[in-house]
Amino acid sequence: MLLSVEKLRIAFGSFAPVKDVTISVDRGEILGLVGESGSGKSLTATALMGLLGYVNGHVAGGRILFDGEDLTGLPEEHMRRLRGRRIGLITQNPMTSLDPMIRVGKQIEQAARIHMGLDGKAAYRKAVDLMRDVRIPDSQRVHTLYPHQLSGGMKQRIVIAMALAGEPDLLIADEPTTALDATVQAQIIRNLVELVKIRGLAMILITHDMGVVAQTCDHVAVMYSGRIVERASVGSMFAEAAHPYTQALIGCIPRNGMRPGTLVGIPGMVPSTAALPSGCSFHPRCSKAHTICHECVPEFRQFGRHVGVACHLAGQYE
Amino acid sequence: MSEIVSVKNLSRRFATKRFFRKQEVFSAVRDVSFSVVRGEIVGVVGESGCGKSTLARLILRLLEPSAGEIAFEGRDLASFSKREMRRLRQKMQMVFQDPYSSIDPRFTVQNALLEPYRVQGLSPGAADKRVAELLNMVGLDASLARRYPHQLSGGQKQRVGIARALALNPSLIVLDEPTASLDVSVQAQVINLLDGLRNDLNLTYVFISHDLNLVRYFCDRTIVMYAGQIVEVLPKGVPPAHPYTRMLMSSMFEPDPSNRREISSLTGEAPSGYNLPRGCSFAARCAQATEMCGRDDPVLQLFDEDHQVACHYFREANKEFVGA
Repeated sequence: MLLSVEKLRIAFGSFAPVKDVTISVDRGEILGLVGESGSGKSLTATALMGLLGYVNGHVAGGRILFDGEDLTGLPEEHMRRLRGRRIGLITQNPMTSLDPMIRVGKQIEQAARIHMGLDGKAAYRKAVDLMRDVRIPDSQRVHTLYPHQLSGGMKQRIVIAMALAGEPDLLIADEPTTALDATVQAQIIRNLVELVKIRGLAMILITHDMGVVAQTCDHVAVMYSGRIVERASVGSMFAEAAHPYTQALIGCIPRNGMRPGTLVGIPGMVPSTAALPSGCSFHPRCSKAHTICHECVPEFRQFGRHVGVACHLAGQYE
Repeated sequence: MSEIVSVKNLSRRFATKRFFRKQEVFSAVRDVSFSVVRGEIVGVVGESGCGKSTLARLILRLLEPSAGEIAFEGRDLASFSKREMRRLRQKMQMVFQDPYSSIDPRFTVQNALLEPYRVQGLSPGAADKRVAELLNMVGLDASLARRYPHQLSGGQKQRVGIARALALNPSLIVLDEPTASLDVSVQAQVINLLDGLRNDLNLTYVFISHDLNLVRYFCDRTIVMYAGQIVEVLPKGVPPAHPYTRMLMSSMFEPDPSNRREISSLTGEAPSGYNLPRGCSFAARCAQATEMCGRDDPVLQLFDEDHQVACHYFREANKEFVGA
């Protein structure tokens, strides 16, 4: 495994919004990290990048093993050599992750210079090549433009090119297409999948969109209020989701040809991480909740090789 | 069944006025015609910049059209004075995309729900009772009346937005991306709520969204817009014929890993309203485009019963297309 996260706990002072997160991803694989707002998925990405310190948080437990090395407690000096160089990040909003004052080509060159030690012509060639890899047409001309002269989709491609400039082994894409239109989203997701398969990268795709997960990921981890509630291969999760939350999440997406009145929402709302319900935090919204669900936090249990679930009722389905 | 709204050859252009600069004209909506039948849910779908929000504001006359007519219950809106228009707005309401900015943060929920009455100079009767009734209708607890917007979740705020639109017993509600800022689990709740309200209160919806699957699920008819024009009007359950609608459909990620599809022939982006190409505005991205498409603008024509398409080659379109 290129990356394996074991029982990761993220805390701000004594408050821990992310607990017990265990996920892993290998080269050539895409892991989908799914959840609604406030589930802790972006915070997990922040921890993987070693950036928690910048938001006044810290890793309060567990390990992040990247290529055999534990990243928790790594000195900032050392982490800086990994960040961007071996672990690339694609953020959600391309409008804010580019510098409005610098030509986009120069921004990619900057990344190539810092991470790969390229300069002058070599950096320029690298930037133009990367722009071609992310399917930017007419890359030599686009190289000289400023961010405001590009559409949202083009800007996100530039951000992806920057993330690739250090030739990372692991790519973390945090909602990379949320801000984009459907046809542009499809182009960019397709491009990312292509890059993973051709370059043999590992990718963690953070999203709330079960459709994107179904079409692209190999494995899926579903988060709910700071915990992983289910982890499975994409095939088995969509064929037979084990956790009631995952089932409900799949059920509430309108799909092509669905009959009217068959869309089922999840009652209630995502609880605030500061005031979690007792026991299983999903129990107030769960249609199958028993008394035990109100009282005890369910332990994460493995069922077979492909499925792991944190639900008291999980074994009973088989 | 009578028409509640009918729109004819509607256009809206915006002109930029900048000192010492050449004036530029942005065409947001171009020559749009359609009608909405009472009790129907009409969906308007398209990508950002296609003119769908401008169209919503034009229907309610929150914006004045540059050309064309809008009739509400058979009467031309342009003939109404400002005062008459205000009266008429009781019957036509809007729910906005962003519940965070569409409710005044200094208003309590109660105050927000009573605002339409103040604007109209009407009495809500027993105010507390009416507020409780409205909150009840949208599935909220009456005790929320004293809360401020920041104390509510996004889903609750959007429900307040819907309750406010219902306050004056409208017959038409224009919903501009009402679920775009909500989590998927909450989106489904809001859609089911809207569906129930329509049945109970005999409402007509114009539902604007960028999510083709959602629109196809929820709406009786779907209007597809591209670069300010209607390119297709699709009855429920009918496969699309226009190349753009097909492209949009094949860009949807179906939640089914056993049916992974190769996303094909996806290129380019929509043209800007400042600089529209000659002929069909989709031609530059269309695989079937010929020389004629770059020259002549296709008009909306009847393809099948209730199914209209604006494409020179729509007759050749394969009827069996299912989005695969």
